Amino acid sequence: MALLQLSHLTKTFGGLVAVNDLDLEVEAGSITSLIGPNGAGKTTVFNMITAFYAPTSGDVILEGVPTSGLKPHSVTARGIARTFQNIRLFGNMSALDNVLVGRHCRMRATYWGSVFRTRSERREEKASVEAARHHLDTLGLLKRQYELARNLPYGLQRRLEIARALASEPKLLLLDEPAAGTNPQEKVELSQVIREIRDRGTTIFLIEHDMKVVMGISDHVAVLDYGTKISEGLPADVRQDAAVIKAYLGADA
Amino acid sequence: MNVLKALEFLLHGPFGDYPVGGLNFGSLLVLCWQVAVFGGLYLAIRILAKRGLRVSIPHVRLPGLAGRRPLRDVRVLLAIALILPLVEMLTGGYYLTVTYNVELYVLLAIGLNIVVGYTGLLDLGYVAFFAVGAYVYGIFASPQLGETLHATFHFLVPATVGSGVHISMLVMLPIAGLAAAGFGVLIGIPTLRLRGDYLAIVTLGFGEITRIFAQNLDTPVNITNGPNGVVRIDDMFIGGYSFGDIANHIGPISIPPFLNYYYLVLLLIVITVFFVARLATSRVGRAWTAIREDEVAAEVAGIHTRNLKLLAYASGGFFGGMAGAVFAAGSHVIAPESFQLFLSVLVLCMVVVGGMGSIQGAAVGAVAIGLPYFLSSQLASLRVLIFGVILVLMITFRPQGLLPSQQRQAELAETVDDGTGLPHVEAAADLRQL
Amino acid sequence: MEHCFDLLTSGITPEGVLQQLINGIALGSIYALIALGYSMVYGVLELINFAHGDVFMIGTFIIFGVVQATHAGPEMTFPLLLAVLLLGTVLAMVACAALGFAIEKIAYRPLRNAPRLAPLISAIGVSFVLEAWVTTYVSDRNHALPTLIRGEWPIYGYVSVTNVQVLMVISSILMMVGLQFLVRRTRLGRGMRAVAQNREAAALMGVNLDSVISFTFVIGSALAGAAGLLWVLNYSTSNSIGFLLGLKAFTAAVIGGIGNIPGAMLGGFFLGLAEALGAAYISNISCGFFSSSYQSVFAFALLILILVFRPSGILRERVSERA
Repeated sequence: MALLQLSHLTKTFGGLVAVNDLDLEVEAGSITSLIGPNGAGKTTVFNMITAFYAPTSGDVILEGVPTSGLKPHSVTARGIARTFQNIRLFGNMSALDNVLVGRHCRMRATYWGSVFRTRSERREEKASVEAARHHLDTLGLLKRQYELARNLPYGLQRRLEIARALASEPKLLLLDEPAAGTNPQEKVELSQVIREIRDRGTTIFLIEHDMKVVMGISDHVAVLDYGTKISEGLPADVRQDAAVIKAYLGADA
Repeated sequence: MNVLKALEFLLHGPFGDYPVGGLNFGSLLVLCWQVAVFGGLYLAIRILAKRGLRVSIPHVRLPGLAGRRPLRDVRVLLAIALILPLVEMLTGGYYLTVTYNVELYVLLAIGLNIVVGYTGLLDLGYVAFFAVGAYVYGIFASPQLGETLHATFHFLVPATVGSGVHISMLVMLPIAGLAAAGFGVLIGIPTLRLRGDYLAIVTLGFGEITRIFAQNLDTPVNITNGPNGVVRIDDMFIGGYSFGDIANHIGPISIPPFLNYYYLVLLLIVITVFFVARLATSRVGRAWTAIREDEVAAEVAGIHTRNLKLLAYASGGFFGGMAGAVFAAGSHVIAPESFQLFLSVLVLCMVVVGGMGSIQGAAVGAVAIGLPYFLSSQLASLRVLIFGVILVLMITFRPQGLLPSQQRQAELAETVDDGTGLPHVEAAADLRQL
Repeated sequence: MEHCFDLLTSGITPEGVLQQLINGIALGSIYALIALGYSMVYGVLELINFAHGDVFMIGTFIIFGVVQATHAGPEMTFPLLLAVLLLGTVLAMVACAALGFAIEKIAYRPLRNAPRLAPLISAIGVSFVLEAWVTTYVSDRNHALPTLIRGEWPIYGYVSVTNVQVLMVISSILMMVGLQFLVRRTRLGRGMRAVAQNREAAALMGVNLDSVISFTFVIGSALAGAAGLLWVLNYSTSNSIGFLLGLKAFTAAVIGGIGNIPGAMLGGFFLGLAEALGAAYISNISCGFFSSSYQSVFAFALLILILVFRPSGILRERVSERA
């Protein structure tokens, strides 16, 4: 059974159909990409998976259980983490604190536990800091753990967002255009990091515009155009698909 | 008072003798003088500022503190607070009331700082928590409750109950705090979706509604005694020790009631700081700060934003409510006009001027604004005028406040990022030292 | 419960309701004029200009001062009286406009890129300064003009509309139409709309941000000055009216959808009506639990309800996620 299953997922805003009857499966342990022209509804799909939007109809099914009715934070607790297209970090917190916030839903410390620094709180806090440093290390940010997030350069902010998402120990990581605004060198490194994360057992589902990145790392690619899935399959097959070429280059191509 | 004379001349120039206080020529002359003098001063400052004159807070380094910033050192602040009233009593005790008032505001500012500074919820109705605490204490610790019960259920409750319910402050303080915390949650629930200015206006509305209810809840059942307020409120007591007893003494030294309340508030401040400082560097406090920085991202990071926001309101309300109870006990009388919107504004300004999200900032802000404000009570409306001017100047020249919290984090980054790139476990531990 | 039912209907007559409707619309026209200032400033800067109500209060005092200084009274010939009122209004509008200009320049401009809280605090500071200045140097009491403009039109039964009320409604509508023209048809108006949509983009496209913002404050404050005339013709003024009236006008602006000029007018009338009817009949509606001393709770409750449940206002011009 697929880790994530989108079944007849539809979202309309007023008269506009943003996502239309989308069926998609993300296999555990895979890197799956969702591509498509601007405005195709990709981020809307992510927003439905993370429960920011309630689907107009259809279901998001994680490990066989529909997530309908859940709040975004519960979805995170169930094992889906995400990053944003326009980076949303906690600017005035240190990089380390950003990642620790990501661990929030895996921590159990209560209000009173925090005030009285109970033994379990201290133990948990210590373990969390270690885990957070581990994630920072994975993304190459350990050296800058005490810097305020807003003072980090753009590329590192993107990485920090991934580290924060990883801190919630997700089964599925949604990356919304992780390579946007990075240079070719950074893109190569990023692809490497994404593979590493997958190899450690986190399934990756990403939206990306950069075809080099998508074709290089994906196991499976789905193409969205005007909210409808027009193609799906192995990267090489999708690249050859006439419908995809038409969607990207216009009717004449 | 030469200072006052000088201040008066600065404010009115040679026109101070004109009969101001009506719609007349005198006020126009004063206006012209003020526009000329202060307008000129303002322009001069602006021009200087443009030329590179920077306004920064000088780092006072006291000998023996080896580079520590005394205003940031909790121990220094605590030591000052401990001996201050004693020194004042030795020198005549002229400023004791002012000191006590400022102290109460320090407590309020630190409490509000949880809501505004850490969680980023712009609350302009903090006075409501103060009022709820005060009224809960006042109604229970005065004849008010008994008289109302007797008047309403006279066949059940004998008139003798009218002397009030006397309960130890160990019980009453938490009850007042919890009542205000509950009230905070009540206000919090409908406002969860609001942010920024809109939240400020709505909380302001709740604050005013609270006061108007306090003013009118003498009918149909007399709960608050209306505009006259609750009177004959008991002093705090614990065991057999009453805070209002003038015969209290340690050995030959007598302890005036004031001193009891001063140290009680100080104790509450210490407890509050203990709470806030520990929460700030733990799971709960980090979640609050994350909500302040970006609520959507916080929710996605797995934070139950609704519960944590309500928790912040409840925490802020708890300390505000306890402050209210102490206020009610200390003054023996409370009336709706003690709980004006102005109080909320005053406390919020203390938090912002001090620097949001830092405990020392809130405390320093409360002193920086409260001290001159309470010292100049004989200036009547003029002090509000001066308060307003100072507020505008302070905020326009230093919008981040006197002791902002970010600076502390930035400093930390400076001292830690020493180029070795090695993880500094001590640094994280340092953050949690309180 | 029978008692409650009696209360629910007792004292409510068609004449009474009609009279409250008329009073409400007249009052609402003033709310609407002040609301425009809030609405325009919020539209452009996303700032609640807390000082705006006090600018209005100062406008009322200027007109009051002019009337007193010229010893104008109902015995004056009508043209002369008109001249005095016009003079007062022009003076008030000019003074308020200058005040608004200075306030923006001193208290808000340095904070344009500061944390969000800073301009709010600054606005509160300015509000204190204005109110305390009037308290200290002018008066801390209530002042009412004698009835300058007499005459009324009978409508139905004992219900009538006074000339002042007619003047209030007509002049406020005229000013609103003028403002609408200014915003829709002129270059500066286009600049204002552009800045309201997206400040950075407007600046990049060559809109002079500073002058547009200054202009917004000047126009809004001048309207508050004009509202001052309408206020003193019908109600008494004091040093402390600014805050509450400002808050109510802000409520009106929010009801109509902040940033929306016809909306502000609608919101003003709506609030005026709600308040007039609410104050008159709140006791009936609540079975005697609430008395008219809860009157200002009414405006606050309305404000809270609108902000919580319909923050984009009843007209919904723009989705206000930014708040």
